[in-house]
Amino acid sequence: MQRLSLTLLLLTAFLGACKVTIVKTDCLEVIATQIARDGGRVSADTVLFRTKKECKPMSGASYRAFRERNGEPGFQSDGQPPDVLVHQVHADNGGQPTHRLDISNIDNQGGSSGFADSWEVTVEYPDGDRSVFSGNF
Amino acid sequence: MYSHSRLLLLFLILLGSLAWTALAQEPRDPVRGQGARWLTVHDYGIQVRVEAPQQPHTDWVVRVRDLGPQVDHLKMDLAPTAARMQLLGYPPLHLRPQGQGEWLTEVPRDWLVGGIASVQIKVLHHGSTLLDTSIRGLFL
Repeated sequence: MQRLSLTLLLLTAFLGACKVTIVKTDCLEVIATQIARDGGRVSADTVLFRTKKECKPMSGASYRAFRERNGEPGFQSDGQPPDVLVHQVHADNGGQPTHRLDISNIDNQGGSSGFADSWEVTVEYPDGDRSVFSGNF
Repeated sequence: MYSHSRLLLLFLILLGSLAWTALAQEPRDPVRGQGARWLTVHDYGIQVRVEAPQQPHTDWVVRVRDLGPQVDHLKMDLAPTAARMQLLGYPPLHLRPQGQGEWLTEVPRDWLVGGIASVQIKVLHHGSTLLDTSIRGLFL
């Protein structure tokens, strides 16, 4: 019993150290694990998108890192001036709706284009609906 | 029967102690020294903004803003009608209305001297939850 308690305690502490909930709403949860900051670089091992079983499933999810140029929240490729896309990743479940999607090894670095200062995540649903969240690093 | 009750009681005490210890030992990350971070919920056109102290003796500021109808990917333009946040180990903070859909609270800098372990914010539009999230990342 002592060993089990210790294991549970260590596991709780470990999980607490590694996970940051980016967004949690009634249906959706977006969690990043192992976020690291090193100068201007920000990275995460995984971004996990999860919807509750009683809510509608997702058809896809995407992550964008960009440099904000026009002061409008989120990424605008047609803004005045347009934001600069630095890094983009999309995930889906092969066309099948799902309640869980992962995006691995993300960061805000885009080769020669330098570091992004902002991010945007989009959750897509089979009916064409989508939810967008954005922020800065 | 008696020994079963005692065992159950012991188990509950152990479980409570475990939960308390886990809570007390939750790791704290150092907070940043300056600048602001924000999170925008495009569905409802609201934004949570966390500003580090600008002067050595001022507090942290947490704002919830109504961005109005001009936000990309807006579904329903809903203004926040209440917001509250909770830092682990401290009493809840109720954000105060500032007009034009903005809500604000100060977080005493003393609360964050040892770093931050857990912080939760809830933004409401009457009975509906617009956002219920850990905003620990906005302090780091």
